[in-house]
Amino acid sequence: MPGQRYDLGRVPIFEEGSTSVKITPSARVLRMLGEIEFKEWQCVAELVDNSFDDFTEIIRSGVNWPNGYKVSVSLPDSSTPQAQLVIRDTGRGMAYEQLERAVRAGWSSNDMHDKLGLFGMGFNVSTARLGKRTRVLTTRPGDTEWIGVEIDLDKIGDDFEADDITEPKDDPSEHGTKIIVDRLHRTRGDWLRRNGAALRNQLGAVYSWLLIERGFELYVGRTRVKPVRHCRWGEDRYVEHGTTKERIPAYIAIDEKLEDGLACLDCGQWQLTMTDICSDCGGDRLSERQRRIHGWLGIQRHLDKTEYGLDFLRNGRKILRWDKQLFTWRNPNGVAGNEEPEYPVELAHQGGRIIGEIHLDHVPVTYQKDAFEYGDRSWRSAVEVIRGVAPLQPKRAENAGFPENTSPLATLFKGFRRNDAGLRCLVPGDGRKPIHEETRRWAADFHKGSPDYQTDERWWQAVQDHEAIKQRGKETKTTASVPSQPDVDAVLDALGVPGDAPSSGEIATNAAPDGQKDATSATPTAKERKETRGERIARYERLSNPHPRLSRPFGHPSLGYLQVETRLLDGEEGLRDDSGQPVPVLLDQRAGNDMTALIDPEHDVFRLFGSDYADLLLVELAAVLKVRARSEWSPSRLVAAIRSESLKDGVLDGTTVGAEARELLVEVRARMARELDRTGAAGKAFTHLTRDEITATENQMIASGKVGRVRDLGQEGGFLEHVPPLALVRLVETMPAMFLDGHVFRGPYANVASDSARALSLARVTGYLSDVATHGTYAAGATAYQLQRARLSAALLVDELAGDE
Amino acid sequence: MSDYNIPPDVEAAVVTQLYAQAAELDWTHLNSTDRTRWYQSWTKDPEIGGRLIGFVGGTENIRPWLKDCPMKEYERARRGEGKYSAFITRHAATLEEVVAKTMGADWEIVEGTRAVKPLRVRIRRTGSEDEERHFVLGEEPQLKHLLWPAVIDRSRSESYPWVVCVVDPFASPLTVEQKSLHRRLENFLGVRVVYFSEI
Repeated sequence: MPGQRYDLGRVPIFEEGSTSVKITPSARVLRMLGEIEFKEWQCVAELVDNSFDDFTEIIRSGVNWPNGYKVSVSLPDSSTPQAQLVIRDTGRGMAYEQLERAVRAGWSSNDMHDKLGLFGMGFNVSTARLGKRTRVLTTRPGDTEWIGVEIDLDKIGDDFEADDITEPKDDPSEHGTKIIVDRLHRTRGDWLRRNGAALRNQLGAVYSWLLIERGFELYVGRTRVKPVRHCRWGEDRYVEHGTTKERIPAYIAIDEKLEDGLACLDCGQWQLTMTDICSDCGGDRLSERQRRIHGWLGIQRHLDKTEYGLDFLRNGRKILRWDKQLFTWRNPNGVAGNEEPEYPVELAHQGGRIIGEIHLDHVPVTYQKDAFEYGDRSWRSAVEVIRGVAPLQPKRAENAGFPENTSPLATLFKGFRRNDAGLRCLVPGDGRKPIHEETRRWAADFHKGSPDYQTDERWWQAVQDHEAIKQRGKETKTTASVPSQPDVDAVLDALGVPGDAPSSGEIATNAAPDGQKDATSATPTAKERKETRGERIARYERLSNPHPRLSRPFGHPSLGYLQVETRLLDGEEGLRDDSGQPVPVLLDQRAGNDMTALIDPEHDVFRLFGSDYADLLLVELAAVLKVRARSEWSPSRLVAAIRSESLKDGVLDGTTVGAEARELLVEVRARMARELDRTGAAGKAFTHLTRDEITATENQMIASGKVGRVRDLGQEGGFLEHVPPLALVRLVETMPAMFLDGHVFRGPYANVASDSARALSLARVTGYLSDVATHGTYAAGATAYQLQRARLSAALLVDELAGDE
Repeated sequence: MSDYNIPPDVEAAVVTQLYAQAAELDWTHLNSTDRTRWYQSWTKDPEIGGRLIGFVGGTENIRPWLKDCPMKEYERARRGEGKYSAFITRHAATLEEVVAKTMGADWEIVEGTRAVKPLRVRIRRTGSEDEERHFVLGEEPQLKHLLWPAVIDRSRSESYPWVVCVVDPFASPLTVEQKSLHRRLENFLGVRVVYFSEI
């Protein structure tokens, strides 16, 4: 077959009686087809339609189709003549004869009622409009090669013959059809190159039903086209209308079978009477076909200025989108122009929310597939089924002499024409008014695919919240206006002010018992209203200081970590949790992994029971980490693990505590030496050392490389840096006036009147110092209790050190 | 990025979730805007970001980890390669399958010759001792990386010829221009370019 040339034009378009007049369009006419106004996306859609038609037939035939129903549109990537648009499908592919028929200008299949588009005028218009050369290649499973035809508008002459082409096949099991258009029209080619996203949106809207319900897959420029869905209320939502509480659902399914009709398979015209010859084109191929109107009407979850109205589909493709013509009543007895818009009536500037998706497979469409043949009887009867003949507005219907309109559209109109916030109209609100702007933003999130916005739950919650707030307002009003119930607390509670708030008295006089003042209108001022959690935490933060040791990452390799900033509350007000109960530790989760921990040192658990801040902080953090890491560990194991991992410096071992003690002693020695030098008492102090202590001091100095200063021992306070730690204790005991009274240690001494009080003050310092000195000398082998005592003594001794003042 | 100390069970749970969602979303064919949105959503997802946060230091580190670790490996994992391949639910053709499809049943993979980045292997005609080829698999955008090992071999006068297998994806088929470039490269470099049509 290669080398053969197709005859593109021999199609009997008009026949009359026995004389047949064959009209073969010239090549010029074929080129002129490209001048017919088709937008770029319509051209692409026209070619995609062919693939989707094929898929629909595969589904109807019940054949198993393992590779799925996929169409890819590859967009041109440059503006060179070689740049091409490729549309490819995983359909059945065509036999030679089918292909031959398919590319003929004006050819129609014998099944135009079941299909979206046809290789025919649509194919020729689209390809001619897009570029100068079109190649169609097709192959069926098992075929040895791709076969096809090349239509080159620059070369094609009046003989109307197109070249036959073939392409090798990589894999014999491949199947499908591809259409390659190149030498693209400059502006349309550029549009396709730059507008992949717009094309996806448009096709996602037009084919949404096929993509969702049939599972067809469409790719444009490597990206999957997402079906544009309706953001409508669920099928179980409803309103209760009027005094009778008539239940009107927010979703009405429509499935109306009409009488089967006789259709012409050549021109598509439905016949008014039973006949053998088409009344329109004279064709004799008439067939009885099913006529059915199906789909749904529903309520969008938000109002929109333009995006509401009904979508009408033919064979799964959307012909009309957001169509509003059914919202206008055309008086059948009126004069032209006598049209009355009926919806939206209320808050028209906010737009409308009645939507729908109606399949009219039996109604003819215009050749551009952007409108139905509105003059056709089948369209008019569809309109009757959906909206009825009477006006939607009952009053207007009555005035015009019609019975009540009970069509699906009129029913929805009745229940949902008003847009008041709350359950009555199913409109989300904030307690006072509808929140249209917000619901529109949520709808944007719905369309983006955000998981939280897919069901109508968020909208429903806002409807319920509105009712709850309104209800509270009502209760307040009632309570406040009934003098026999001067329950101040209830009123305040309803106003959101705690009963014990300092300003309660003020409000009580405003809102309570005389009933003259409308409590709901007494908008609480910022000062009076209840403090929010955020404000409370901010206040705690202002009244607190950072605790550096407990501000750090807390966690464990198996649990993950939290970044914790710990603050100690300063003041006696105390910490309260969300229910107002006093707590020793309060956690506040910040952005991401950050956490603020507030500790109240005045809480009884610390003040009376001496609990460690870290212990209770760990208990709180363990609970957070347990949930987050889904840990099965017991609370004590969690606390133990986090402590050992995150508070390593808290470990009680002899080496650590010994080092801590020696570090503190360095500070104490330096301060005592400074004091001796200041008072010139170094010599006197030296005399209090025992023989052993002097020897130990000398050895220590030599060991530290201070051999030269051994001779001057006792002349300056510097010797204190080398005396054995316990000698420091004895020096303080022997010369308390020298070191207490704020000289080195804070404790009072000289001015204390009674001896016993003096001894007590001294004993406190020397007690701590002696613990520290003991462990600074030798801490190995100490028990945990001993080490704990040493660490506490060190902490307390630090407190005893005099300030720099 | 991989120096975080994420416990294996946490990583497994997160990647399982992530890959299941990626498969559902047809990740390969998502545009960058949608991918950005999903990274944001995963960061907030208690089953994904929520489980990672304790191990990566802060929220700002979740997305880079998702992107640079499991999602960077996603396409390789779909072909059964790499440490995350166990978490894949919807597989793409493996290297073995691609070799069988493009070279025919009489070629087998020489064990121990598999290498990655680019994915390559040595193949041998069944029953023959010395008829061997290098076989490298990848997508057109990575063409230069696919060719580079062949260029290096040529410069060393290596004896095994190279078969460069370019994936011809259904959603973005190779163009005539790309294929004619491949023909020129075949001649110039002395390699063979074959195609693997993938739906």
